[in-house]
Amino acid sequence: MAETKQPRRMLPTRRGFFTGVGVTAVVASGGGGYVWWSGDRTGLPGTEIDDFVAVEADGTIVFACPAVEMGQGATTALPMVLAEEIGADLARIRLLPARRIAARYGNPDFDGRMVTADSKTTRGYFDLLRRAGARARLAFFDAARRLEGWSVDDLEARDHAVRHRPSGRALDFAEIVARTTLAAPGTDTPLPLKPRRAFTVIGTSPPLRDTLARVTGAMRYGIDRRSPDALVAVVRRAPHLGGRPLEVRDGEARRFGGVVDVVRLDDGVAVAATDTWSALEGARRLDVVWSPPSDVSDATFEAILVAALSDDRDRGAVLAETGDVQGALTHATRRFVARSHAPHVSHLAMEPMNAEARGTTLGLAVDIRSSTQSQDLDMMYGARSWKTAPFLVETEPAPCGGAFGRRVLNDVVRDAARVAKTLGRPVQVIRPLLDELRRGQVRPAAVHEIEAGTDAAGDLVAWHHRQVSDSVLARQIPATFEARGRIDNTSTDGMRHPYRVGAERLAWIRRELPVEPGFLRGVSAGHATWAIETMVDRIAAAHGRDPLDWRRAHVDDPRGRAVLDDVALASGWGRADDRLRGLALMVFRGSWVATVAEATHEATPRLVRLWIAADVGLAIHPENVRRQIEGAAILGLSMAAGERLRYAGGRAVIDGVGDYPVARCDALPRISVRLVGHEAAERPYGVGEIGVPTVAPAIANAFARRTGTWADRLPFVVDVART
Amino acid sequence: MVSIELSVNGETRTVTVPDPAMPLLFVLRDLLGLTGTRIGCTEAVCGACTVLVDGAAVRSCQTAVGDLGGAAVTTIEGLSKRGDHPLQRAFVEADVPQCGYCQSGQIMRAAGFLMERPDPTRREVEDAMAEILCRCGTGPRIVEAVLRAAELAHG
Repeated sequence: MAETKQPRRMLPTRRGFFTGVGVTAVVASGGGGYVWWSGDRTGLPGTEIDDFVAVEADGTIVFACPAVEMGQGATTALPMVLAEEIGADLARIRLLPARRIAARYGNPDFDGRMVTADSKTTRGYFDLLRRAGARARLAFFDAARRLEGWSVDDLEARDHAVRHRPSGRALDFAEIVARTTLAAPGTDTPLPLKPRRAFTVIGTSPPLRDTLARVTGAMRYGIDRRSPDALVAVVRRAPHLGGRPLEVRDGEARRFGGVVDVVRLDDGVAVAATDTWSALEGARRLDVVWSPPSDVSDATFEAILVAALSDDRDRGAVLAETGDVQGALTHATRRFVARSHAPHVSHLAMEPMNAEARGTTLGLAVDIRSSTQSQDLDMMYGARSWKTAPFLVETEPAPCGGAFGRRVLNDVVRDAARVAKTLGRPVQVIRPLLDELRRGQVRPAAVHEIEAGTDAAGDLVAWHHRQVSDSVLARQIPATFEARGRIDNTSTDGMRHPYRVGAERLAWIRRELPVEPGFLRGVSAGHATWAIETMVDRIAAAHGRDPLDWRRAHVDDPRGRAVLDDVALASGWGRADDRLRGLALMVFRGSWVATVAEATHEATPRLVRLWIAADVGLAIHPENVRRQIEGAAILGLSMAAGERLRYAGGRAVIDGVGDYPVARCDALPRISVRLVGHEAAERPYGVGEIGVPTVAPAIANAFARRTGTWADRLPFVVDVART
Repeated sequence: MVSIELSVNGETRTVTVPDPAMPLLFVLRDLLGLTGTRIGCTEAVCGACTVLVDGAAVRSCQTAVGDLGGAAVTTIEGLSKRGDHPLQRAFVEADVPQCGYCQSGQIMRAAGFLMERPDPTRREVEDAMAEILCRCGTGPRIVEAVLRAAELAHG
């Protein structure tokens, strides 16, 4: 078995320094933010083996799950990793949400923060959970040795039992804990990990946790968890950007049904009631004079973004620069220039955003419960709004009814804390979907300009890609923005293309727009990949080269070539038939994705099918990986084909939720997802977002095979051929 | 405040509401604790709040509780005792849900639809289920599961 070193802790001195102190400390983290560490207890029942694992009296493994569940399957995949190393039965692993102790539970791939996002959960916790599992396995081995006199070298663990190979006897974990006390291995004990070939849990596709609860209505999301003594409140905000209440007449609202109180905030007016309908109706009945709207519109935004491309005073933050790109462009045989515009888009997660705040400790402290992607950031919003220290904020995450990045910067916590503090009683705030569409966070609009140069054969010699957009980090978490050298990776993700090129320059220019920016599944890769991959097809078409051959010739990584070959084979690429086929390739979050869109050969082509090949490294739960990619591809299709928030007169042009067009199941192509390379892979890469970005360019490239043109803005018209 | 009697999942329940115009959705969730019926857009766009009224799928956010008369309301909690309605079995078999938030509405819409059309074509299923929004992208699996449930119901 492979030996590994002890886990590298975020805070190596933690145990020595903090054990038994029972106080709270704040420690600067590598990411430029802060890691808050509160107390020294995991809060796990039973015998604690590790921060992540305890064992209860009946042999049940308790797992402190550091990730929240929003449909991505983390509460199935993470226990599988643990079960693999322990030799545990998945059904006998119980999950508890990990407490907000970032020093223990923070994601190593996320600056040690407790955030479930960025397709980083499984890959980030993979090593930690394997080691935690190995520790538990060793604890069971040690107990079995003491009980039976067996040599540890003769033991293996599977099906929730320790097995003694020479005698064939087995001790169930329940029997072990009934007969003796488990002792966690010492911190310097080597932790042997299972070799890849011995995996029996990882790589299988057991039923997902909670599926039955999700189809019987028993699942309780954050919005369903309002405490019996809490009021429910709705904040009425102006329909226009930046609107503030100047004058409020609330008589009619106060008289309605179960309305209890009205709270004026700087950016809205909250109506708190004993039932949801009264809160909604009360908010509707408020008579508010708002500060006037500005006159900004999509034209304003576009003018600001486009002007930045010719502003010589700010050439942007450089992500990569190789060779003399201007020289290479000048000497290129052919030059290509394309500008691609991506609109503001919204998440429209189905569960309205919600948070409950409850003052404790004579109002000094506050408990926050919310459908959230980040306990750490809920703490930040809670502390600021309650005007208290972060360690006085308790956070409790609830399962999310969709998240898509929106619940990372879960700003509804701010509303809940403000209203609960003012009223001096617990309050759950829920945010209507219409208000969220008009005033909530959006994926920032962007403009890409790519200049490419080729030689006589059509090979790439120069690539100059500039993108202009606002920055989520700069606006929402400035300390992180500064710590990352003033480059917002969530605005530049997707710009690093996979192609060999002599000279290139990738730059991002930030321009602030008066719209609230937020993270959205796929972030900037959702449009950068479209800009890049349509440019590739323009080049291939101009040189009469096959788009697949061109990509193969420019990609060195065998994983990239493998997904290209796989999707080509599956989709019948190059077949002489009545179909158009368009290709897009991407490497994102460590995973490779190649997508072929198949369309009818008509003057106005219609989409028939999407073929996706993905190398995600080790697939913990292959069926769920395929499901995630399929779901993300539908979001990608929805954003390619219709999603766009329009702005005019200082506001989003949205009068009802139905004004925001999203894909529905009467207009979906068939989607096939194939996994490549996972059989031999040792480590998982990102999954959650990777289905989104290649869909738009694959469709655009398929249609262009007939039309010869590529749309210069998202969304574009995509008709689906129904069968 | 007004007292209203209604039939939910086979039981007669009495609720006190601020106004008979109170939508059934909020009566179910806030007054009866039946949170399996989900709150979404509250404007008849998303369908997350779909329930059956006398066997027909309706949007409970648009159904005034005072207009129900004696109609029988069935929510996801009342669809089956053990989660073994053919639709629920088919949804579990196909591992349809991701976040699961829309699934009550999907299943109740499908239940109403299959009562009208026990032998639907794929296209009819797609059209019916397009009324219920899913942002996770479970649409293709929903269509498969509804077709499978139609088979199971005959089985």
